[in-house]
Amino acid sequence: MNRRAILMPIGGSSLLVIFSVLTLSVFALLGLSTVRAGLRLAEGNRKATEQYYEADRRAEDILAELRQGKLPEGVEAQGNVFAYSVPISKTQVLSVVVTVEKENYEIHQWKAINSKEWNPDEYIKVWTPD
Amino acid sequence: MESRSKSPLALMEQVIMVLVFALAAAICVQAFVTARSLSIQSKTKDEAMEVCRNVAEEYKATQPDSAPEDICYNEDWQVDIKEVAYRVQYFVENENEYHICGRLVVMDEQKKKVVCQLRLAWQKGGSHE
Repeated sequence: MNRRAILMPIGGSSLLVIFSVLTLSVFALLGLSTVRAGLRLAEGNRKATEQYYEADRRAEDILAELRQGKLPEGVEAQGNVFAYSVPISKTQVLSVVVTVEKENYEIHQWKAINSKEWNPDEYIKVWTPD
Repeated sequence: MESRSKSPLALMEQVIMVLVFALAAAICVQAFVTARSLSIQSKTKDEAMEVCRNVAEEYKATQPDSAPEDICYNEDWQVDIKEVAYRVQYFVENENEYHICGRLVVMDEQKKKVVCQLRLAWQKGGSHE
């Protein structure tokens, strides 16, 4: 009986500590992974916003050149209506349509649109009603 | 038969467990502190970018003819000129009679560090719709 007690010295305090350490570790890891995901999201948001405003700035530069009477490369003109697009990212472009009359201008379109063709994934067969 | 006391064994077990717990707690507390600091960093970045975007859209809508004045914010991102924690500044890089081009920067005034920045341009003069 004594020999058995010497070989297995695991008591209530050991179990309590093991449980506490496990709980602490799990919560610490969960907290850390959640925060890292939040940081990745914030970084992605920052990158997307920077890319949009970089494209917006280039579009403003082109508009300024149009107002000066120049016709920059890549701009399609139909009378005094000009259309051009500036890439934002691999999948988006900033599409602009403006009417320019001397220094004055009217913006008809200034929006981000998808440039990549959407290919639906048909790998999984989905039930379609007859 | 002489019976042995289990007290030294129990004491040793408890001492070892306290040491193990202290070690694990130290590591976990470090992880919690790191998580808190990353969370604050992420929140600051988000808030700064939101403010930067709002200011950028305001400038693009109002189209001022020269570089606008700095805007000061407190810790809670409220406009405040007394307790300045963050400052939004616009630095002109290129300017002519048709447009202004530059950088909109959000500065952390205490750390003297750039939190976020955007390249921003708008048209000057001429009537527009």
